[in-house]
Amino acid sequence: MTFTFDNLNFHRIILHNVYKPNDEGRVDPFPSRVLTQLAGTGLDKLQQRISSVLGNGSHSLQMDIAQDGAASCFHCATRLLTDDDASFIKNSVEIAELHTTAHTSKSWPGGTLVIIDGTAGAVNKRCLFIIKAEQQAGFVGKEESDKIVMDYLDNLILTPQAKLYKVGAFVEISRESVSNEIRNADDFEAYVFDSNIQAKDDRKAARYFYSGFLGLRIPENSEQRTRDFFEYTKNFINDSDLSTESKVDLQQALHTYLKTDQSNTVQTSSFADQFMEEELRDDYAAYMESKNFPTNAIVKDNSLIKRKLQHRKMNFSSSVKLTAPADTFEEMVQVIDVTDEHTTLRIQGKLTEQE
Amino acid sequence: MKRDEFIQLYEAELPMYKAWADFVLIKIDSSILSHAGTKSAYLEWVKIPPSQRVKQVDSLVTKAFIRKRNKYKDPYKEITDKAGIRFVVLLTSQLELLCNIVEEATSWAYSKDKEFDEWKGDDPRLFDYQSVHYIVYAARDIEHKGVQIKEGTPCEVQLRTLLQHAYAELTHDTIYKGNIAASPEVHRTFAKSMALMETTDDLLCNAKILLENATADINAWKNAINTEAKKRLGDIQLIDDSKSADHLLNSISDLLQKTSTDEFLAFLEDPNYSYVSEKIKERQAGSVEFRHPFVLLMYFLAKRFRASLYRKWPLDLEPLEGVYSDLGLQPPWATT
Repeated sequence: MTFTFDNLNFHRIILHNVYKPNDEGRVDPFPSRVLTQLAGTGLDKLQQRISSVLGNGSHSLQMDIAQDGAASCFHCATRLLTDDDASFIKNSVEIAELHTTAHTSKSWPGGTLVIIDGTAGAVNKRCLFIIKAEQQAGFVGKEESDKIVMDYLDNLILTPQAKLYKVGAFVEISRESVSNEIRNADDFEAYVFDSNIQAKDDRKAARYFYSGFLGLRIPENSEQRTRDFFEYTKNFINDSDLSTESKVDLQQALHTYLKTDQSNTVQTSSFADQFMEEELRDDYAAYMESKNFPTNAIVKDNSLIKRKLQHRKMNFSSSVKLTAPADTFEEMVQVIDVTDEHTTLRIQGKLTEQE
Repeated sequence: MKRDEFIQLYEAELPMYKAWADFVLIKIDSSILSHAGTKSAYLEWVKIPPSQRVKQVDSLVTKAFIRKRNKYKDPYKEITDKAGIRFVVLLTSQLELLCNIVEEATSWAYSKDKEFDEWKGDDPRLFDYQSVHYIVYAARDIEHKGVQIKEGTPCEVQLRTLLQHAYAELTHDTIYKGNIAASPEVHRTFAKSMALMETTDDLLCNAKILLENATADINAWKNAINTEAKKRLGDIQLIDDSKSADHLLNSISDLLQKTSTDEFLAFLEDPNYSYVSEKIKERQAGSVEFRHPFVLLMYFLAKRFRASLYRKWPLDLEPLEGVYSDLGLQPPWATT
């Protein structure tokens, strides 16, 4: 079961600026030496930024913790949970240092690291959030006597534009190792949100953040999860109240979504948004949640369902079965008419063989 | 009894009849109010403020000694409408409650008004004046506002609907009380009006039942919302604004049809969402929505209909951003 980032309560917040390397190599971060004070609407908005990218329905991914040694981001992050304010400030700078070390390409932008400790979930689990916010340019409009003045800003961060921030989160699920100098990775779950992970074409940009910096890796169960997604969704469509025609279309969409969609991740809400009528989406989400399928994203790995995705199968109440290549199914098999007793299909091609 | 004795007695007893009419009116009125529960529910029933009257001396004398002089052996005793009160409700279906109240009261004995029944006629094919008339007699000696009321003092109680009232106001004095014989054409026209009124009343009674059935679901939601808000948000100064709640519930009625108040209550009882009341309290300085009793419903609907809620949501989306954030839900619309 994925962790739900509800009931967020932020405790301490600190900001450090990080930069991309220049021709001489790494550029040191600009660290804060005091905690950031944020209250009211500002604090509420910052919490909204987190819940909208890590929450139920978001593109975030649960990850495995790959690096958990003394020099790992995991260690730097988890010790902040029990640090007093002075140590929190000092130790959080190390996270900025780790980021700078991982930041090896000039094509990735610098930005502001926002490091937050707090709690989430109904039972207030301790969490450590690391946001890397890239700077945006924009304008601010102000009303002044008889005119509206527009000012240019080039250092906006954390606008709702989620492409311009990435988030890593460590959630303390158990406190078994709380007395250890270095916490046990089994006590934690890790989550990441980075729009680069979804896109197939920029794996390096994604990997630097979740792997090079946060020390996480893609979970090993991706192929099982992808198969689960396929099976559960197939069953949901078959058992739904939809018309036969709509079911045929949606099953075809499921094949398309897994086989040809360019996204690197699979997600209940993105499949629903792309292919389902709005009324069906919430029922589908509830069904998948009841199957304990993650409410966020998983990495797509079709290796277990490769063969299943090659063919579309149809079973009829009269035991008649039909198989067709999935890629061209829509052109090869057309549903003409459906009654309780009969289904009229038009099949391209002529009968060549039978047993 | 001679005419001057008659007048003397009536003048002496006039304050007693006044007091009795007042007593009966207050009794019936307070019974309706306690049955209705609230003043606004009471006003669903009682459409015109109840009235009381006592016959003037002249009018009583005219009735006893001129208009109906051959009818009574003992006119003083037999004329039972010296005091009278009247209640006007909306529909005939509501008259039943009033009849029960009159018939179950312990302060008086009652009879259905004979006089009224007489001229009502017993031909069911006739459409004519309709309303329920009782005579109530004081069951014992009663003191009311310093006036002694003797056992057996009568008071006429008229119970009518608005339509009957309109008809009666127009016809009663002209056709039945006047001594002028109205032409058959006048009678026929009035009978036609009454037929139409009875039909209208039938239709309206049906319409009311249909309306009540149609709003039963919405009312169940309203009850659940208000009860839970009182229970869970006790320390918040909640806004009493049933119009906004009606508007909201109507706009999202097709979502409500996909769920149930039981599901809503289960959500509120679920320990996984025990923080919701606390979050609502923290948001008191923000949008006004968080002070509405329906705020609990906002949380439930956000959880249950994460993807589709915002399309049906008739109010500002900004407060929903806070609700989604509290629940750890990704909002599917462009947020601020």
